[in-house]
Amino acid sequence: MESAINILKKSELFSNLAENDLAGLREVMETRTVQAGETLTTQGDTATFFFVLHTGTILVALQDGKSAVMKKPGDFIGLELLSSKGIYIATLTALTYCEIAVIPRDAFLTFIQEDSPAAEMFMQSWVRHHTLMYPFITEQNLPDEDYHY
Amino acid sequence: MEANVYGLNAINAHNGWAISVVGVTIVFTGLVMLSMAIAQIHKLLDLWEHRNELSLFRKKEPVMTQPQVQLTPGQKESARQFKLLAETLNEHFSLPRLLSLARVSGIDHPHTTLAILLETNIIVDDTQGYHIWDISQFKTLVS
Repeated sequence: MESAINILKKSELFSNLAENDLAGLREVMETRTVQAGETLTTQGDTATFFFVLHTGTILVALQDGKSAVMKKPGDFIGLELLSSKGIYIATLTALTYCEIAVIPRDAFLTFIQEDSPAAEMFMQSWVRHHTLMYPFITEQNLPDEDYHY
Repeated sequence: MEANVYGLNAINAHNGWAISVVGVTIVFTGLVMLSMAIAQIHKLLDLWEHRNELSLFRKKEPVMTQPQVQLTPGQKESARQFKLLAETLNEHFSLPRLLSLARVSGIDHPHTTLAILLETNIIVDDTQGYHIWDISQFKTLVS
C-alpha cells in the first residue's frame, strides 16, 4: 500500500503545500484499509480523524437523506475537526474495499496552527473542493467558523 | 530606307517605346510578386514551427472507446432488486435510504452492488444531494 504522505500529496488539499509543510504530518499519519460495509464515522460522533481516500468508494451520508460519493484518489472529509463543536456532520460508509490515510485530530490542529500560509492555502483549497463536491450543503450545515486555532 | 534610321527615330520606327514599357512592366510586376512572396515567408515558417498543432499533420490517436461494463448474472439480479427498491422512492431519491432498504431487504452485497450501480452510471448524482435512476443505462447494461 502506498505511504500515507504520498496519498496526501494526491489530494488537491495538500498538493500545493511544500514538503516541509507536510513534515509534521508524516510521523502521525496512518494508512488504513476498510472493507465494504464498514462505517468509518457516524454523524454526531466526536470528530477524531481527517480522512483522505486512496482507493475505493465511500458513501458520505449527510442530513436530510442527502449524500455524496467519494471515489477519486485524494478526496477527503473530516474538516469538522476544526469546528468548535467537533462532531462529524456525515456518516461515512465504505461501499467497496478502501485504502485511506487518516490524520488524528491533534496532529491536524497542530498542522493548521504551525504554518499560517500553509493553513490559508489549505483552507482555500478546502472551500474550493467543498463548493464543487457539496454544492447542496447550506451554510448552517457547515462546521462553524469558531475554529480551535 | 529604314536601315538608315538611327537614334530616337529608330526607336520610334520599331515600337521601341512600347516594347520598353512592356518590358519594364513585366520586370516590375515580377519584382512586386517576388517581394510579396518573400513578405509572406514568415507565415510559412510560423506554420512549420507549429505544424504539430495542425490537425493535418497531427498523428491520429487511436480512438479510445469506453469499455462496455459487463455485469455478472448475480450483479444483474442485485441491480434488478435495487431498481425495485428505487421505484418505491421518489424520482430523486436518497442514496443512504436506498442502501438501508437494500440491507433490510437482504440483497446480496448491497454496498458493492451500490458501488457498481454508481460506477456504471445506472445511479447518477442530481447535484442536489440526491440521486436518480438512469433507466436507459439500466436497460443497456442489465436488461
